[in-house]
Amino acid sequence: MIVLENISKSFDEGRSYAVRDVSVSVARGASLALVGLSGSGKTTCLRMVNRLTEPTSGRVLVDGRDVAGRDPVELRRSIGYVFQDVGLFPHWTIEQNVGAVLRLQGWTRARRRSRAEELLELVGLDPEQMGGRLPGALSGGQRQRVGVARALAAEPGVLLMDEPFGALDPLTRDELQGEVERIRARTGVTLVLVTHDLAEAVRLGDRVGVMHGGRLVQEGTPREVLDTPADDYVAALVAAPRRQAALVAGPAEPASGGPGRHGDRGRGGAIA
Amino acid sequence: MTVDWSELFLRLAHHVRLTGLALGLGIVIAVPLAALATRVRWLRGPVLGAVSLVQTVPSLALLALMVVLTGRIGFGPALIALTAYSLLPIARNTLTGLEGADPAAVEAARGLGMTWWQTLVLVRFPLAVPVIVAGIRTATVWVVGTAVLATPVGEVSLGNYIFAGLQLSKESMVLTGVVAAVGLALALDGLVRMIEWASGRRRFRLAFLGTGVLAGLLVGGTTPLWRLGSDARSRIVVVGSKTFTEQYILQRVIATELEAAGFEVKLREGLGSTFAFEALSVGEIDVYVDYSGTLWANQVAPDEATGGFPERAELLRTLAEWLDAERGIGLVGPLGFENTYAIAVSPDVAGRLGGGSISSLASVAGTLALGGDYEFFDRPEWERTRETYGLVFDRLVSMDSTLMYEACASGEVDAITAFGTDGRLAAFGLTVLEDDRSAFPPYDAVLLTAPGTDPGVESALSDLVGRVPLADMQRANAIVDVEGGGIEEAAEWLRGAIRGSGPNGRASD
Repeated sequence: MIVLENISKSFDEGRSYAVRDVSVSVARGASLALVGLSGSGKTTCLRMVNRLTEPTSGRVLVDGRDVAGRDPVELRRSIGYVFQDVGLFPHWTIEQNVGAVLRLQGWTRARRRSRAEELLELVGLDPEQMGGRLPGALSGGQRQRVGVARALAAEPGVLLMDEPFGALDPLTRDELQGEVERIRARTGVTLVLVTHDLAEAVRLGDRVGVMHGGRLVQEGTPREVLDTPADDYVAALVAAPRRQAALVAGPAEPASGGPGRHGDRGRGGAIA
Repeated sequence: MTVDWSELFLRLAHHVRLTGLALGLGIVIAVPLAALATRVRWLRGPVLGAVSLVQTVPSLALLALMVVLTGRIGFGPALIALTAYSLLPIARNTLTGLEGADPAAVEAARGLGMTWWQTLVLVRFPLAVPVIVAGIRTATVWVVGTAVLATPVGEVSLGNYIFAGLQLSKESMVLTGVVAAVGLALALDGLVRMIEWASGRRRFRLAFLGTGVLAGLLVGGTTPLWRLGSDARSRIVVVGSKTFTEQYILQRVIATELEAAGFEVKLREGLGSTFAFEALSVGEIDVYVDYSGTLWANQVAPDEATGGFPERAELLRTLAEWLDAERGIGLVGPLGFENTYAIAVSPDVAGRLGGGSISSLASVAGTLALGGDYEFFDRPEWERTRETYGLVFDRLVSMDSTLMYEACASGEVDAITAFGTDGRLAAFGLTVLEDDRSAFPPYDAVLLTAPGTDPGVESALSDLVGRVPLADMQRANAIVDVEGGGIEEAAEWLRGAIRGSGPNGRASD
């Protein structure tokens, strides 16, 4: 359970606000997707949950406790975080990267290793093949999978994802979105996801929050946001991908078109 | 020139010890300091400012400064100066490396719940290693090169070849020093690079091997020095010398006499003029030769430079009493010759002068250039000479004493402040002007011993007292400076002359 209570953040002592008076809550095991353009304040909101950024005013509660009163180091170890640019440690092997938090918590090497194998399988990577490699030897999609595995290592109750798939090609992104759905189903983790991709927000969010100019302009189920946009901005945000989709949605090539195949690849996720 | 391998090894060992320890200390100081400055931001400016400031001090000046600050010569001040010198590249690169470490990885470390310290040790440092090592390599090359300047402040180094070689115009000697120093710099640099390369590729066995070789070099280079330093404080006699030919020759003669009397002898050569006296005062060297007038003007009565001075025998007696009472230094006795400061002119200028004295120089000095060694124009004797004769030269040129004679003969300068014993006066046909108003004090060469020196040293050297006439010293100097012979050769000749009472005229060559 995550609650943001009237949080605001100003980086310039009140002259302007990156986040202005945002209140929202995410039930245990549920997911919230914050969507908006870059600079809309969505990432700042996310970072205030595990105190990478401190709010100027307002409170953040995780499982009923105000995070301001918690040791930031302990807090962060209890929350999984997936970064936009992954940030794998380039001098550590994949296995070591996945086990990073466990190492901080004093797990033995053997236990870290078997846990890392489990996690790599969970995110669809072959531990045998990948575990000993350095991040530099992996593709972008593989690296992001490792980033997800690393965030899940300590079995956190909360997972924060900051535009995790923004830099990936559409097919890989689709596949990884499927993985996240599957992981949610398996672990019951509470998820807050930040994205600029409305489709991703709709797919992964039980609820969707639209941010604009530091404010949360609408929050509701994906259906509510799509069907009844709260204002012109949200309406425009919803209209744009529909127009784009229409361009490729036509009757075009019958039979074995690209989308169908690609849908098969993401099947695992779709089922979960 | 044939290379004396044991000598080369010893100097190399000194050089390795000095640079190795300086670099080690530099790393131990600079790396944590830079790491701290990434956390305590206000430290950044002062830290970088301070190490940069050190760097702007010319290296020889920095070494000399440490001698003044510590009041000692040799290893200590040289180590401090070189350590300070190594700080900038290491601190700057460490700071750059730590701050420039992949921001995504650093942010991730924070987000995963690493403390500042864990982020530093587990992420920032490993990522900064290549940059830090580059800084260490820069420092290595700098320090190995700069360490040759430890010689003038009394620490043995490869600079001994270079400075003595320059003084004696022995290119091969200079080259030996340069080649050895460059070779050492390249070798150490290569070793550090190999360690980095190997650890970067996770070839830890090779990295450990490299580190082992480095540590072995340091320890191995130091071991013979420990042995040398520890086994016989009482029996080892350290013989010093200043930076000119006569001093090198007399140093060898003294050393040979002492060895013949059963002492073990160590040479500290090429000491700056005042360093030598200070070194003797604190017992870092045990024996060397200085000159009565120099000591009188600079130590006994530095404030009475323009006043009078006692006549020769009286000056010697007063000097001996003063040295004993004030510094506990023993004056064994005068060697028998005087090495006066003198003003010498080229034949051309001599012809234009009315007479052969300094007085006759005064009227034309305004159109002439006077060359002198580095210290002369700051010495009390110069002030005194200037005032006594009313000398105003067109310009004063400081230069290395070995170059003065030729410069004067070729007319680049018109007059020089020469050493009376220098064989090159005759060789270049220079005329020594008479000091007709006695501006220069007498410069009797005197044997000095450090406070608390074994009385056996004094008796072993008493044979030398009064046995080196001016002609013999000039001859010995000429063997090196004019004929291009070696120091050993000249020392051997001089010793022969002393043994066979009086100049025995070496078999002509």
